[in-house]
Amino acid sequence: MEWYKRSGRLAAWAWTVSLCLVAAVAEATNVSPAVAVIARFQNTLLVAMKKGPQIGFQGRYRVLAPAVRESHNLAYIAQITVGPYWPRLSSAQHAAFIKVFTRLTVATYAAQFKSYSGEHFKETAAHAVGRGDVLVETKLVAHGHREATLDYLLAPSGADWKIVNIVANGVSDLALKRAQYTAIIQRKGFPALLGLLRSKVAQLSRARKAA
Amino acid sequence: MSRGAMADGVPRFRRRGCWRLVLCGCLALLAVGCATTGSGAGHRVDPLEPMNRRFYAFNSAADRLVMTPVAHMYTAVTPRPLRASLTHFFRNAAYPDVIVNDFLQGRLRQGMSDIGRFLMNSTVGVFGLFDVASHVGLKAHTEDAGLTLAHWGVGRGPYLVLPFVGPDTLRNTPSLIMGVVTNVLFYVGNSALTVPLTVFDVINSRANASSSLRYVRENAVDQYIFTRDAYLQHRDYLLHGGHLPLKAVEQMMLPPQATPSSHAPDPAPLAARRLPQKRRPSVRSPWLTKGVVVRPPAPGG
Repeated sequence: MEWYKRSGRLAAWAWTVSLCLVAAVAEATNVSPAVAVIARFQNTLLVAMKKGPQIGFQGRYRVLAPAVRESHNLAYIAQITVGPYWPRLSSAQHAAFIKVFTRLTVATYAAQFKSYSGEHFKETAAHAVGRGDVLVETKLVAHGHREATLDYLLAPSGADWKIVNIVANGVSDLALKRAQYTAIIQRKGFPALLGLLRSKVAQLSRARKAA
Repeated sequence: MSRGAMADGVPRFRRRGCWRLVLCGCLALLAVGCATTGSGAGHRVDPLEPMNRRFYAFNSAADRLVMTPVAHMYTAVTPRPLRASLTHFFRNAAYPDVIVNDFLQGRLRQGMSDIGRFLMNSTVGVFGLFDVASHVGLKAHTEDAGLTLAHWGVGRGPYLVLPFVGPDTLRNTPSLIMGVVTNVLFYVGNSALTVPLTVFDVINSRANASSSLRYVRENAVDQYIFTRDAYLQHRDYLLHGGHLPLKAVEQMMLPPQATPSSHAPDPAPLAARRLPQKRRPSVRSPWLTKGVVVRPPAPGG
């Protein structure tokens, strides 16, 4: 009888563990494509950093542009950054804004990731959040063991996953852009914002050409 | 923008003497580059914006005219290992502030770990010049009086830009005093030693913040808003022990903030999947369980 009870408990444990394993596998299956997107993108960043001083800003821009377009949902991010003003803009303004926003995003990466001194990325966690999105938590480990936390929020986009927000050390890039862009539109209008973003791209390009 | 740069942006006052106030103010300028909130509804977190913008402009000008050239010169004449050791030394001297706030927040285990870290770096690490504690697993934490008050449920209060100090909040202002009286250098009492050390502390911290400040200059289209939102978001992040609040992550992608103009039409949904009609409360969020009065992060932050 004792043996029977023990077997029952064992079976219950086995069943519970199996359920956990199945859930874990399902979770892993769910997040792994998103993790792969981040891994590919960060590998490209490292390539650009390693070649950085030789190929210069324009070279890094060329290396990074396809990777950024492939891994980021830039049209969606652009839409969010202007918040309530988006529906009031014309189709031509939408297209112009997405174009300059894309150039600014690539230029920012090309300007910031300009050289390599032993840095590497490591993934620390990945889990589903919100309405089917995935948060991939990574760290950029720099020389001297200094670390910066980089969390990527990815959302399904067609058959693939794309980045919709990046949070560095707790600071959301999307939130920063949104706060600035909406304030500028409110004070000066949309054309002024477009002009400012174009001048930013030009500044980044000029400042880093020598790099 | 590094977490360290932001955390170190708080000036350390010393006893007696206006010069200390000025030096500490200059140090605080470095924090100018690192502030933020996650809020498009700026007026809600920043009711003093007109005054804050004036002080921000003043701090930026003072930094550009005084601290930037000094920091460049300092970086040019000091080797990187020396700067790293000085950084370790000043962080270690200020570390009792972290320990006191660990215990005030009831983080006993972290407090004991931080005592061990402080003792090890002060002895084996030669007065803190070398961070040996990190190599044995005693990692550094960031705590201060502002985070303790937040832990106790005190609301953030308005965002402030203090002249010579930089970004702050009303809740965080006691940190300015507590950071001074818990600093080891406060008790040295020999001005022949504390004066040059204070000068080095200010200049070294400003030099460490150079890359963060350059990032703000190069990338912000409105440096004031960028700084304010980055500062406030980062403080919220520290409040959660350096972990991203899940609720904040979820709210990032919620519908746009209220339309800024009463004549403006309601924002149309951007994408049905992404912009649900009803905001779900998150049961996982520590934001709702600590009794802390925190402004909900803005959509996108």
